[in-house]
Amino acid sequence: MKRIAAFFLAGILLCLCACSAPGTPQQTTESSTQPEAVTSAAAADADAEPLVFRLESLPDIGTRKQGAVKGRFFPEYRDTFEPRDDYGSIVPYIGSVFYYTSNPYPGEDEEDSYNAYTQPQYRYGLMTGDGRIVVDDVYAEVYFEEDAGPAGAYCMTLFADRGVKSLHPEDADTEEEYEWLWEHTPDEADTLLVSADGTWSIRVPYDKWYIFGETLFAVYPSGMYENKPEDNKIMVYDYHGRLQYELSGDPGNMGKPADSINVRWLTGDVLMAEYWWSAEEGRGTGKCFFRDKSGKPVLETLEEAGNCTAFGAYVIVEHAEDRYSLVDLNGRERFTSTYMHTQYLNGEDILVMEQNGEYRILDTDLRQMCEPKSFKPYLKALNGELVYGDVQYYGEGSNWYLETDKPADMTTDSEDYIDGRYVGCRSGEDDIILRDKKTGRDLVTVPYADIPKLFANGELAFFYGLYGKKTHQDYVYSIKEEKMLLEADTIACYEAGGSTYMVFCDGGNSAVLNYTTGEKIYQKVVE
Amino acid sequence: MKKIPAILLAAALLLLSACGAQSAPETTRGTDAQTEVQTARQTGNFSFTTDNYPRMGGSLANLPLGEAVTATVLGITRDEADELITFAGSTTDNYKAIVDGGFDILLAYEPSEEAKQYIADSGVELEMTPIGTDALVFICSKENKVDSLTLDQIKQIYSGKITNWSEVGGADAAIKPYQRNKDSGSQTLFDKLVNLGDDLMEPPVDMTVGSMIGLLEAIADYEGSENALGYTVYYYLTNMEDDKLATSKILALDGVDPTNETIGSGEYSLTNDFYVVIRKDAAEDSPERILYNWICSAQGKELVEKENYVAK
Repeated sequence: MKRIAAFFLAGILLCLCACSAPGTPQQTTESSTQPEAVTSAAAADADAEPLVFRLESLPDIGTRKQGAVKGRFFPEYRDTFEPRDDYGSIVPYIGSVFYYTSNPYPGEDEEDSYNAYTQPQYRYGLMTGDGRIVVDDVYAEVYFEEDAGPAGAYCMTLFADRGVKSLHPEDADTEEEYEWLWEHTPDEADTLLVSADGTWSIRVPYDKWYIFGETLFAVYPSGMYENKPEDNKIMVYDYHGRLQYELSGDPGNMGKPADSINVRWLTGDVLMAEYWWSAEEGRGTGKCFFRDKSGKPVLETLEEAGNCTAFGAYVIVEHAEDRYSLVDLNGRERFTSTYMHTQYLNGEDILVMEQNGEYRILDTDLRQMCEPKSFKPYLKALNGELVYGDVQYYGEGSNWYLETDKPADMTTDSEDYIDGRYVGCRSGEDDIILRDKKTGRDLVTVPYADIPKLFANGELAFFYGLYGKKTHQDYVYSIKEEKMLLEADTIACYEAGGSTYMVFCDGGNSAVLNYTTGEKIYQKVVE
Repeated sequence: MKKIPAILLAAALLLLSACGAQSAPETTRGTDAQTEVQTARQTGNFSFTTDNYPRMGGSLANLPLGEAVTATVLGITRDEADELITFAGSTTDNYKAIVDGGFDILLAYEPSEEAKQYIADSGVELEMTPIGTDALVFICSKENKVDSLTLDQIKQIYSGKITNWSEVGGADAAIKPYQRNKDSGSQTLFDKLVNLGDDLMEPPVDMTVGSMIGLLEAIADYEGSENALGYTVYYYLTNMEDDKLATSKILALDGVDPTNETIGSGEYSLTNDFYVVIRKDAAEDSPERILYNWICSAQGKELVEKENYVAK
């Protein structure tokens, strides 16, 4: 925690020393109204009159805006979202925080003790972009799907309890608290999707959703452990919240609920829905269904022994061990292979496949990205370019090549594509370096974080902190100003209504800042 | 040890608001009635600037006063003033911060016992002058039939001896007595004025509320809150969050409604002062000492009253 305090103190010092941003208030009394006034105590003559501040009269400074919270869209408490056309934009906020001990009964051994740490669980609500509360804090989790329609959509898990609870961190790590949390653990199969412009919402009894082309998305259950076959639904909606069609019941005529459902989409707005039934002994059964935007089948149901994988406009079907085929949407088998493996690198899907004893690297148009290799290539990204390695053994002796077969210098463990200009490079075990590919400069090294995501037209880099240690921190770095803007227990960035919002919470205190306007639209302080 | 970051978070907000969005258009000016900032002619021999302005913090209920003081002496808008001051964290944290050098001046309610001990242990002496009076008020749902409680009834409720609203003239329903976190200013006030000592019941885990607004929401906003009882400070509720009074109400105490008049006269009995605070070793010509003196002056008192506080 000292690290956090040091960071913020450094930030404050920076602010005090260097910050003279356009929005910084300027003293308006430097006019002729007080030409003789001393503004530096040190400059005062020791023999002079005692320094006194006095005004002829109090100025009219107006009245104060009401409330720490800017207000409510509806005067009364709300635990359900009501779509409307006049919200403008919708932004999540953190209304309260629960702290609980992840393992309240640690054993004596070191590992158990390490795992017994206090974790926050946040409860979210929704507000308008100008800070008026639309739904009180009843959601357990919020994800933003930026591709869900023109405005994007928030996908939220409903909290099981709507009662008030806000505990101070120091009071958190009690057994009672832990028990309370379990009693109020959100029901994972209760999801709400809300358009970021607030014009539509869908509440579904499922916990999975998948963006399905530019105009549709699907929601479905993740597991069928106790469900009936008729619960095997995949529901497809448009971005006005209207149900378009559903795959329902027992599409594979298996007479029992699927053990898992997986949804992906193929180029051309084709939904690929994979159902899997495990077998008590031997292989299970997988069936893959394909539907167009209107729900019409576009390809015969495929049966597989392994699984189906979407690859551009093609499907990779694992028939049995060491037998794969790549099938187009006409049902034509384009390749068969003993090895097919897809990777997502540099923003695109890449296929590595074996054919006639050689390994080929293909893009989603099935073009070869380099000459066939006699070894199974291991793919990585370096400085925004694809490299492949002959990695029979990790460590010394590995050879790395660019796709042009020029030797590649892999000086870091890996580099991940962020956008055309920036890459994230792993350093050491878990540190991430944000590197400017154009200048070759390392902008910032962030400890224990994931590859950053850019916001505000590339001005901000958001680093999601990795779990696995006792404290979790997220970070926002200003690429524009080349300084860390924020470190907090949790941060989320959202683009809504033309603004970039930072929603964050530290030490139980939460806030929402509109980065684009510089306006703080919400703040809640644990007094 | 989340307390210090609680204050620092607010400082970070200040930073972000002031520095982070340089591409942003002018934000505070021109957005409301504060567009035209009047500046008053100075008649003293010292002028405050944003560079020499003391680092000011304090209790949340004193935030409007902090804004008003800052806006008045610097000739800026309230929104601009809000970015220069830090009224976050508990009252206890704020006292610790002025001892540790994090603040130069406080506008704050009385320190908790923990804060007093911290001050004593540090060897730092503080100079405090009461500048106004506030009151501890009890609130319940507007739907509740009860309009008034006696101090004795409140003591019995919070010591667990009265548990049903019917025992104090209300419906037959269990009382849900909320409490605040122990280092809050409201709890300090409750502990001092209600003075239950060890008789104070241990609150159920879901009836301790970590923020002032959280408590108001507990009483005012939530389904099932008609049986809740809570407390806060009068100024905060009636001047900063009075929309909560649409669904909640302030209970009279021993038949006396809290108003600025009854609080000022002492007729409403659960009152306490709030203070302007600096370190005693602040130099006579230091900006914080000069501001302290001004806040304690007649003009400072006039501003306290103008902000609808009960001035001392």
